[in-house]
Amino acid sequence: MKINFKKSYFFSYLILAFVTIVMVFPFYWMIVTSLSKPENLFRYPPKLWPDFQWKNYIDMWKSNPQGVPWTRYILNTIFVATTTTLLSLFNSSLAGFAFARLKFPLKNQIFMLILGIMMIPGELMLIPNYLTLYRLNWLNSYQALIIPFGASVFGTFLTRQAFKQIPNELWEAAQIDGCSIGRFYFNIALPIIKPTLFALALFVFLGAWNAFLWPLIVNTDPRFMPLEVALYSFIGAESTNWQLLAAAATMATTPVLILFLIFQTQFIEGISRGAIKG
Amino acid sequence: MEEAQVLAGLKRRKKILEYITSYGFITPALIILGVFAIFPTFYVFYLSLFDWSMIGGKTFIGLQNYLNLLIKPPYSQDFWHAALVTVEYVALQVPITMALSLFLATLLMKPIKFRSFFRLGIFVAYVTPLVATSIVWEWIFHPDYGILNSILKLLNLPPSPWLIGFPSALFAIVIYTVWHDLGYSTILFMAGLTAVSKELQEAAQIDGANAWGVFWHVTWPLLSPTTFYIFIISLIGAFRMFTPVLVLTQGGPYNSTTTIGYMLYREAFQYWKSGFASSIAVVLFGIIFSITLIQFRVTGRRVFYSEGTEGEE
Repeated sequence: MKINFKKSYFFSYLILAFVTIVMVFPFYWMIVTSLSKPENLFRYPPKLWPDFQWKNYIDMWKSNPQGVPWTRYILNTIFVATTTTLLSLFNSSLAGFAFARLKFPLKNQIFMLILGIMMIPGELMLIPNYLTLYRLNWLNSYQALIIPFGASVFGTFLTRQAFKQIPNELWEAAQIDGCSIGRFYFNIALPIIKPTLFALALFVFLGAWNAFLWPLIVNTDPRFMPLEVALYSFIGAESTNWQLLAAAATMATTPVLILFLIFQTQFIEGISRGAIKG
Repeated sequence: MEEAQVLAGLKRRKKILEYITSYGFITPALIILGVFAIFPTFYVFYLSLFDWSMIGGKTFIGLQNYLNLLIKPPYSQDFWHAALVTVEYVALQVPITMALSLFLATLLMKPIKFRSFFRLGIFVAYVTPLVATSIVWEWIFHPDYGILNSILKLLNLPPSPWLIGFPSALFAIVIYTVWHDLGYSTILFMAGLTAVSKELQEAAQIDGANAWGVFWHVTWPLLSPTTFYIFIISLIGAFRMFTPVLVLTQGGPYNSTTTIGYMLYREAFQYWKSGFASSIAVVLFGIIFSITLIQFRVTGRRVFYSEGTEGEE
């Protein structure tokens, strides 16, 4: 029996190690390519070790896709991702609090309506939302990337669940002490659900950082493009300079990787929790 | 008597104040969701009844867009071809991702060392941006200099044109999306396996069942709600897939990777046939909504697939 177990464990390690290598290899290959001399890219057998040609990064950085420096694209992404996260967290948690703790007419009907949105794929809203932005004269602007994602159904749902877990006694005690609803929400309830807010913030931030299709459609002016869209135009312009493309891809991926490595537990728990609750 | 009246009055005032505060709390979210989610859902049905190029004038044509899409050639040929490609993609991608992730999840549930390291390695691709990782895979798939063909050559296997060949382009996209999404379903399966009773598994083991027996007779049936849930969200995700198509193949070669989602994007934002594209969106919605309804019938639960796709739409 024991020998049998050990043998199966050995194979488990072997398989897991193999799969992990395959899964991580593209990132390694991205870095190797980004640091290769152009002539070594087209060799057979391929050179699996980087040349450490840092010049590729300088060339990439100087390339200014569509006449706009990379700094601008990076700052656009940081700005849009941060404001979207703050706005979405604020609006979703406000609504989540009302649905969890307050009584008001049509509460359940409105909540069901909001939940119903979850069944609708984003593709359906693409054309009408483009039109709305056009009518608002918001095409090619930051608000085009921020406002439509300034509240989320998932966030409302998640914070509602978290606010519900706050003991009723606390709410009653605060009311007896004359604490207003607004103060209770801001000073007592929000700090209590910090872990939920944090997990939600990670997902919204990541979503905004990785957003591609919506910014591609609504912002054709390079000055308002986020990094992912700039990268897409860079593919067209540098379709043969693989080392520069890889350097740009590394630049766009590294912040996400660092964020993920720091907060991996929250990411993974957030996903498992969402699945069980869902 | 008077005291009671005053008290009742105070109570009512408090209640009204709570109503006003409540609506104040939900209004910002309601406005945004109303303008960018609820209104467009209805509006797109209306738009699909027009011959219209986004910014020009609209001509009412009733159900003509749907007739063109579904039965009138040459448009309908494009649509049914895209539908076929989508189904082919779904039929490949979903089972491969599910089988692989279930297998990896069962391995990761064992009390092995470096567990979180392996999990991290398998999951990391899921959080990375699609365009950036597509670039890497385009290079990996390069027919002449790509590392994938080099490996095939090393193993004495025939090389493939991958993204520029038929039918290899669709396989290449399947490989890329399996790579990107594998970690997500692995995590979900691990969550499901955690909930499966250890006692039952051990009892079966004591009764002399081997590893496969335990899995087949105990774990698998207990896991079926999780499996079904993952199946549904994978199915919906696969039907909606198109960013990898846009970046890797632009639907080619010869439309062999044009999915319904990509067709929708192309008609709407490259050909600007907005009325027609709206009808594609409605049909795609119909497909996804039916899948959700089936799920709802079977388990009585809603599928919260909008999680994690924030900003992706």
